[in-house]
Amino acid sequence: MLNNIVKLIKATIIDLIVALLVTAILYTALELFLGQEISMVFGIANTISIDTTNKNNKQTEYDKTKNKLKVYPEYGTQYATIEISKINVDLPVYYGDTLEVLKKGVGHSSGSYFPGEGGSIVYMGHNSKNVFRRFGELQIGDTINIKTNYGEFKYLINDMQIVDETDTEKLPIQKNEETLMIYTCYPFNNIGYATQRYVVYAKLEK
Amino acid sequence: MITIMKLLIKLLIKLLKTVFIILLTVMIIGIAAIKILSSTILDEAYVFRKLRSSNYYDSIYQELKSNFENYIGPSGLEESVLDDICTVEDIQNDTETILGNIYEGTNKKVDTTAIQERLKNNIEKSLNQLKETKQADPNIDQFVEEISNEYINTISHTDYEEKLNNVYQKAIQIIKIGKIGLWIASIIIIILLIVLNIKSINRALANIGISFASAGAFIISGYYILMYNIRIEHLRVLNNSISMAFQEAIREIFNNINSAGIIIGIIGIVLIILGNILKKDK
Repeated sequence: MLNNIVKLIKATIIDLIVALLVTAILYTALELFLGQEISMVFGIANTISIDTTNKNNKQTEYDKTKNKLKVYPEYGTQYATIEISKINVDLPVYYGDTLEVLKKGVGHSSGSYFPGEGGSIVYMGHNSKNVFRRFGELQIGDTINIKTNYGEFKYLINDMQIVDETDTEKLPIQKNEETLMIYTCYPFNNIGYATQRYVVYAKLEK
Repeated sequence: MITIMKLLIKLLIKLLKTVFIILLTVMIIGIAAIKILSSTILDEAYVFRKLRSSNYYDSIYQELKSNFENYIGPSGLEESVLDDICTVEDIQNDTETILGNIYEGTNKKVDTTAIQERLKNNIEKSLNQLKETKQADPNIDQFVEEISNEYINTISHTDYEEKLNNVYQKAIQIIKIGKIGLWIASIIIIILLIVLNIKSINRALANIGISFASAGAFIISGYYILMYNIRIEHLRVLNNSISMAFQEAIREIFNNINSAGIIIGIIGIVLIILGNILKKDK
């Protein structure tokens, strides 16, 4: 009886080992023939896997020798704050210009340069009371401070214009002179959908 | 010569048995995968259940309210104009319409007429209270249209609806053919294994058991590989509401995979033990 049980256990273990060998053969075949596709699937899964526990990007790095950012902030994350003491504005600045971003604060147009890079910087925000409702009170000579984790930048307002929403020529992107352009919807007390924009232009104070 | 021939035939039979065991393992894994997919993300009723259980409609309602607020700031209108322009029930009905388009191949559109009327009424009341004139009518019409478009886009993510529709229809076709093919192939392989083990049927049982045990081990280890490589809690699809429902569905699918692997593995072990118990002493 005991002999039979031992034989049974041995035979079962051998069959289970064979089963595991078959599993190993299948995984090897899978890796050989579909390895790239599987890596691609995991890559896609990682692409749509976003760790949102650390919203503030602390990794923005600035290269002083080249006047350029070495590491850019992640899209949708806060990288600076904007202060306009004249109209009591102290708001976060996010990289990006989606509705989601504008709900939280001021957006930075992804097609423009960053503070310190010596080119055109374009910010935008709603004309709601929590953001830029008092934009119309700004005058030439008022200051705008941008504080980033790589430095503080002070800009002096030198112009204001009312432009059509489609007139992109009024927000020129160039890399010769650091210019901050901030716009919001106009008129400030408009009812309905605003088709104009109020743009404030400011130059970096040397 | 005859001995060599006999040896070669024995080797061939062993090789064939090994190949059939491997093939049967693949069939079992395929059948399990189709069963899991068909009872989860490819099943319309399952998706509706998941959306309800993950409070998707309430979540989308909050998200819509928040998205609408983006338009209020620049519009100059009172925030109250957005009150009660859509309900959770509207969102549920319209979402199920969109999903129906994907799962049933229909082409129904989301109708925002009621939302637009409610919004226009709210705006009129608000403007009357503020004693504003209606000089801004064209802008208000555009505002109503923007809100309406925001609603449709948040509910349906129009860009993706058509793509999902095509993908789903193709997937269903493949699964229908695959299911039949896999079952027929499995039955054929089992018959062949019995034929190859005609002198000792118990070995056929054990061989089938090896396939099941191997499939079970493959599926269970696959579950752990997936869990290691995919951080479910960090998956983001379109918006937070869809992400939550998606994460819950993926979690359930992974659990189903693990359970399927355990059940199949146990069946395999039982068949192996039975096959060895029934073994006749030579």
